[in-house]
Amino acid sequence: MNLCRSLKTGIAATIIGLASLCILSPVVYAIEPHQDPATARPMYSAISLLRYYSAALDGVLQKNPSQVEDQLKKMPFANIPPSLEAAAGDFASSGIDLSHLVMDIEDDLSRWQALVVQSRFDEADELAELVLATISRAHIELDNIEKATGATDRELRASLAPADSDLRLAYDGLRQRIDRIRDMLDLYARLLEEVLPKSVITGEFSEFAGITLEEYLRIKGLTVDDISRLTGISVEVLSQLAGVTVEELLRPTEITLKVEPVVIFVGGNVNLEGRLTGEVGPLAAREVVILLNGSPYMTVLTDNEGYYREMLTVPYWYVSNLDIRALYYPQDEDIGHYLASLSRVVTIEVLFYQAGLEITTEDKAYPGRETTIAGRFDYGQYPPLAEREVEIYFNSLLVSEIAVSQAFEQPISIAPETEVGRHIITVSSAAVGRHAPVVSSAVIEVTRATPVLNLGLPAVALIPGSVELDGRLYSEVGPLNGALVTVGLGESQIELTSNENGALDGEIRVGMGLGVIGRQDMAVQVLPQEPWHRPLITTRSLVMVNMVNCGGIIAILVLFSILLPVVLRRRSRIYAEAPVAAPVVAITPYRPTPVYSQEVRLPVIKRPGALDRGQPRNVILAWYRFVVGVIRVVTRVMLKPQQTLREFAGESHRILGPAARYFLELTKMVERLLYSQYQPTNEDAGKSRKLSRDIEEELKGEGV
Amino acid sequence: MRVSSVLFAVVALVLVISLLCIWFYPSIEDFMASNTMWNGIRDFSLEFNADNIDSLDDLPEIPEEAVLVSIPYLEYRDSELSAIKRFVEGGGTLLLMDDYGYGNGILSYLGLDARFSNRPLLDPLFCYRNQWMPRITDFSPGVQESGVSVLMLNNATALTGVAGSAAIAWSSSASFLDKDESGAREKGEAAGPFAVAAEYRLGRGRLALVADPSIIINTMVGRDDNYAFITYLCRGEDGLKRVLIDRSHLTKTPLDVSKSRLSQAREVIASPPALLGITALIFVVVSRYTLRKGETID
Repeated sequence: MNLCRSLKTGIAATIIGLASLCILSPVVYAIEPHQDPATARPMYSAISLLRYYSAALDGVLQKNPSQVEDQLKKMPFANIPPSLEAAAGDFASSGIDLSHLVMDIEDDLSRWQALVVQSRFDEADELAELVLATISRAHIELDNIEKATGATDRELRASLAPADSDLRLAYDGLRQRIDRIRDMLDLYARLLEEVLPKSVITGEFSEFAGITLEEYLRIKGLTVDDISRLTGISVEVLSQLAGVTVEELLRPTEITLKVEPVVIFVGGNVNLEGRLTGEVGPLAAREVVILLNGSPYMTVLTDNEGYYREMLTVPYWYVSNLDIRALYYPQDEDIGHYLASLSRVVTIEVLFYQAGLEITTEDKAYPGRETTIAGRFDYGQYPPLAEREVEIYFNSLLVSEIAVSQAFEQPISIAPETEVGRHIITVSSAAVGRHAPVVSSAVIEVTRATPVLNLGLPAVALIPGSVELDGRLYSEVGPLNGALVTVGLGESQIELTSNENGALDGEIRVGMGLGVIGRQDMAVQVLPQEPWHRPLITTRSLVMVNMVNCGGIIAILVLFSILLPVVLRRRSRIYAEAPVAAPVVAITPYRPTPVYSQEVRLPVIKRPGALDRGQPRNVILAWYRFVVGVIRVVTRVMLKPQQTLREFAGESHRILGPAARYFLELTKMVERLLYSQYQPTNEDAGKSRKLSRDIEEELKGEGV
Repeated sequence: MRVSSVLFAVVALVLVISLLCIWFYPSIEDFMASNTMWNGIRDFSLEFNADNIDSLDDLPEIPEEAVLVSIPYLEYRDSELSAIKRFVEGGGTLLLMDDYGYGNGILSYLGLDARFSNRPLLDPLFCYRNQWMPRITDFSPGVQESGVSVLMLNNATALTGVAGSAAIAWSSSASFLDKDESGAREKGEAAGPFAVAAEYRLGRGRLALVADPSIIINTMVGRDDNYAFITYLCRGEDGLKRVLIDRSHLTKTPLDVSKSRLSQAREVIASPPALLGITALIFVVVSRYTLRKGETID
């Protein structure tokens, strides 16, 4: 039977254990789909690296330095072997520099070609030297790129790869681009070198004085195209010059310039005059270009004596200095006959009125509301303007355009959808005559106001019942109109709407709960309608008293107070009932001993006749109970519940006198009976009877 | 001892051990806040004080100060899409992070042209360790001003149909979409750059798209400028918004389901009615036991 029960228990435990394992095991051994960066397998792509280099060099060839820079500045983030990092860095820095140098060369070549076309060979020569230096620097950067490419190849062994492999093709593509850039730089240099400097051209021609250009070409074995390429003069013009002697070609000119006055307000007039002359005399009816800060501004014709005079109105540029130069370059029939000439620089000082503009914005602006921009012009020592136009920009958006005096205040609207944060207010005023334009900016903080909720709540709320709500919503901007207020208290929730003054009132019913007395949070959410207010979520706490639960608890307590004594009394009665038959001790009603009296009246103890009947154990216990009853009457010492029999014997020892010895012996006998497995005999029962009688006799002897 | 007593004891023991295991054993599922391993989002949850929600019914009534992080690995129902739309148009920020999930359903419902390509975005050159972890270095000025210069993705995809002004991050020109998942660029596979993050204004709220949810997992959130980028996306008027993670559309293991239900059960038990009931039950049981013992003693 026991074996069967153990088997069942084991099977049940095993099944439950296996079921638990089945539930948990799929979780523990689930497969992860992502790759952990810490343990990810490193992979490098040589082909991608070489193709990326090629794409960057394509940007060089396309004269797009910004593209090259964008591409190559990312190289520190490239996933390449550590051994290639230095080469990649060199390639990136040289590639970026090279792209900028090529762009500079292109720009300078354009300028150089314009100078050559205008027969401004002096300036062209100077520029050509600069361009050639730039080309040399570009070659150095290209060499660096080639070295970096070589280092990359040594690491990747790309050049040793099969010719039709992607790696080899990528490498060959990169090499091709390097070669193309080198060819491009060489072309730039040849272009500059093939156009001879002015000194070479004029020196060559001086050796052949007296012969025509046609004869010169025949002697030198050149064509018109060759001369055109060397001098920059078009083939058509050279064809027309075929019969002209070479000393009449490309003769130098000179131009002078005088400016008065050299200090002038903007909009003022200055007189320009000068003279254009060639080797043989003045050049009449020629067009002279007046350059302001290097750019053509106006043209003027020379008179019969080669003089030119013109009044220049200083433009409203509001710059302190203006460089003026006069330029002659051969046009029409002069092409091929004369060289260009440029006068010295005359710098004039330009005067104008300057003003400061101080802008003040409000500390905070709110989306959907107006804010005021205040400004003040400070003219200092200059004469102020009575009125001037100003434009106000919010970030880069024009929001207001007004005419203002020295000080102004202008409200502007902030769009409702404006994001909170810092924005830029720019106020600009255009130039007015001698008054220069003014621009000033200030930062404005756009924010949303936090609502303040003044909610009147009772100190204590009763359940069941309702809570009166009476409050006002406002902010630093003003009251919240039409704000949706959601109030939640426990399971109850109501929605209120504030009026135009921000006031709101209502009543929320309080549902029953299990609480008795305590604080409860009331959740309040405010959703404003105005874009300048932000939502508000807040809580209020109030004391809740649940009358129903309180009443219930009081009723339970009252019930307990009534029932508990009854139950306790009943239980104590049960405990008081003896389980075995005890000797009947007749005890006379106790009368208290009169005060000051030595007389002791003891109740009469009747000995039951059945003490010697039954088992020895019951006999002994019956005699002991009898003796204890006698002693209790005699000594008035009670056997306390917490007292052991031996303690009781000890306590009554002094009063019992000689009988104490017998009582102690009887007590030991009873203890042995109660606390051991000892089975008493009839002899023990007789002994207990004898001891009881001895005690009784001794007590009688004492006069009890 | 009777068999029923043994069974009861074993069941009780197994139940207690199971509950303890479920409670204390960390999740190993992706994007689980209780997952402390590399693929969990415990670090993100702690750093951003993120709360998990198991239903879109738990979205705040005032969404303006909240960011809902959605990783849609499970499809959204129409009612849920409607709740998301209400949330965004009411002023909330939806941070939709997807790679191969159901993000396009949300975008379609919101009426946007942008889509997740659902194809692996590989970058064999600008990457961390291998091409499946591309590094992003091109950002809009707003992102750059927030201190983000490089971002690391993990098994990402790309965005398509994103308007130029909406894109805020792009992959490099060396990247490509691996349509046939061969791991190498084949003919016909589009080359980068691709938009990998975008921002839209919708109603009063904002929608941020990121073509890789993995940037928030424990092992990724601290790499490169991923943390700063997430901070940028979760920005509010006064710093970070309240971050809510939609856990209801993530795939879960039985352990995660058990954890979730155990948490719910704990919340139910912690409620006043349940506490009162348990107290009463304990009182009754103990009283009955004590009284019965007392009778036996008598």
